[in-house]
Amino acid sequence: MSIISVKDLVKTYNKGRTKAVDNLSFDVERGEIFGLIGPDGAGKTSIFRMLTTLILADSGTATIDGMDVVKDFKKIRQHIGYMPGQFSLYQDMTVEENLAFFATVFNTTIEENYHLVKDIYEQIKPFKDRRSGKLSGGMKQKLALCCALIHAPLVLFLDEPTTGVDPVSRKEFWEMLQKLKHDFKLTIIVSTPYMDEAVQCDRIALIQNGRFLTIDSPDGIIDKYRETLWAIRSNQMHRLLNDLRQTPGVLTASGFGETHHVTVDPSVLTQESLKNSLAALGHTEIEVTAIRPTIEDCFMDLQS
Amino acid sequence: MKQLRSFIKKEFIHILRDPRSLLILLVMPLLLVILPGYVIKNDVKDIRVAVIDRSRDEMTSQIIDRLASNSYFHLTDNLDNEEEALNKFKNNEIDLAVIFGPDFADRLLHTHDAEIQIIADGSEPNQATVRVTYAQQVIAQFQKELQQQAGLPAGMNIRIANRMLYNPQQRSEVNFVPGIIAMIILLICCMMTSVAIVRERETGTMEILLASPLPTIVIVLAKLVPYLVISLLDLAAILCISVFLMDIPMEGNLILYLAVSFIYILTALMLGLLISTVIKTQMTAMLISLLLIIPTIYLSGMVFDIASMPLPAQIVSNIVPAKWFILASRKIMIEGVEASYVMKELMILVAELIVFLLLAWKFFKTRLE
Repeated sequence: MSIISVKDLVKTYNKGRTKAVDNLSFDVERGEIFGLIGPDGAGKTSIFRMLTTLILADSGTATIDGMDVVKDFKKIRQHIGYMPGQFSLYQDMTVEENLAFFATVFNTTIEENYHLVKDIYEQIKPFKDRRSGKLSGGMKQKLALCCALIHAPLVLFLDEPTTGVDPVSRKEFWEMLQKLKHDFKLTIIVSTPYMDEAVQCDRIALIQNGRFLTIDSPDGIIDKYRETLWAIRSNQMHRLLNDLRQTPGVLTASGFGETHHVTVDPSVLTQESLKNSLAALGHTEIEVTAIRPTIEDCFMDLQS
Repeated sequence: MKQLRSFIKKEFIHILRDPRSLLILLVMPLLLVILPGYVIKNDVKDIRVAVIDRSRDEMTSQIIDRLASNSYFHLTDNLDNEEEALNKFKNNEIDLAVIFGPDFADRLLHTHDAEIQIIADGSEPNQATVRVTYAQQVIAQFQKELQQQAGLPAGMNIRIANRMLYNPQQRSEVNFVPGIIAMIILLICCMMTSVAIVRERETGTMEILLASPLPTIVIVLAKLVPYLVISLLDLAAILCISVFLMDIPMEGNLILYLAVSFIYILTALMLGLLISTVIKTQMTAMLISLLLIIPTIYLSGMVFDIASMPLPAQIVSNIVPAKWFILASRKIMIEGVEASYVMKELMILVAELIVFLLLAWKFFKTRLE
């Protein structure tokens, strides 16, 4: 049986005028990292809050390890770990005080479940007497994760844990999640607006405007991609994007950092013909490569 | 129980590590009492005294000498009658008039009912009280020494009658201390408690607490207990200052007074809890609490006499908890009445307490919305 099972979940705000979560159903399996990936305002936080019993759905049902999020909310609250999007620890309390407080909140002690948080806590232990408000963003997240883990929850809910965290800390954070999954078979449901973090999850749901675009493993989503996708660069990246969009046979073109990603109609364009037409427009150092799509490419494709 | 204990500890950490909270909770209440009462008191000197001596005997001249030689007093005139004294008061030429009754020495030594009347300008009630007290002290000292010298029996009495001009109401701080206590308790319990609860919601920590197995009652109790403790501390400090430094009487039973205060503190805490359940930001919680202070000052009888208010205001004043607390406090502190005389006030406070509690219970959310 799936550890989380969601069926036809609907959540509206402003007396039904704003649909935040639009009839969603999904399952999360035991011991997997499940990612909710989508832009701000897609409905990720609303889903988290319904599953953590903090708000009520308009309709639909959800269970966590067989417990109903409405009827059994008291029981559920004993067995979940939740890290809200906003940093939600007591800034005027030290690292150690925060951890000890949340341990007693969950009727346990730091010692009892220290093995769960040991790897993570060791990293911030040198600062255990520092007030949590004075920690760096990455350390705050580590402490928050410790606090959410200290009672050995069945499921860990992490709402945008890497937002506002530097790239190195983000990478470390994902490594910690992988280790928790590996060592303790912990089920983790995590949301993020960063598409590049999708590959860290076992399965992901791409979400927009309260609806899922797709649910699958990252590879499964990429394999389903049917467009012809090229990465293109030239000496004038800025003008290149406009020129590409004007070129017949180019379906979409968007900037992707170092390169532009372009989907084309292969019956109209070949890599050679595109290079030639770009050269005719004055571009030099043109590179065109067929590439495997990223999750972001898939997201944009599914979006349209 | 362990959850509650560690939660209460956490609340104290919040308070103790926030200098602003400490200032409001511990320093401000004392300042509110000391500033108007005690500090101003010390400024009283160069008291201009006029004397009306209807006896002109040895005893009265001794007392007058003592007044004249006291550094606090400045003897201006020897007047013949009260009329003249009143004129001097009107022209602000004197602060105090001391009037000796007839046959002073004779009555003092034989019939033990020698009379002195002290008249003060009551338009500055605080200072007037102090001036009168100083004059009384001089007279009392004289009486004591006279007893020792002459080996006269104790109990020999000079009857001192005080009169305040323009403000026959009497000493203001006697009335004013119960009011200040009412206001401080409201401020601490209502404002600080509601802000403390709303802060958890605003900073997002409430989200974690609600998603945890903590029972609601633990969260609420843990929020209330520290402010209850601090209110009691403030109450004790204010009472000590009032009784020992400002000579406010505590005529009635101290336990009874503390019991009434305790009920009032609980009522104020429930009001704070109620505010926190319907308010979303710390700023609004603070504003609402400050708005509650205004009716407390104006409609509780702290500043203005309720009986002289227009009828609508009198009706509204009945729902102001501070009104009942102040009424009961004055009865106990000044009149020294028994418990049965403050039952009505106590019952009304308990009723308000229950209403606030039920409303807060109804509005408190076990979820975020």
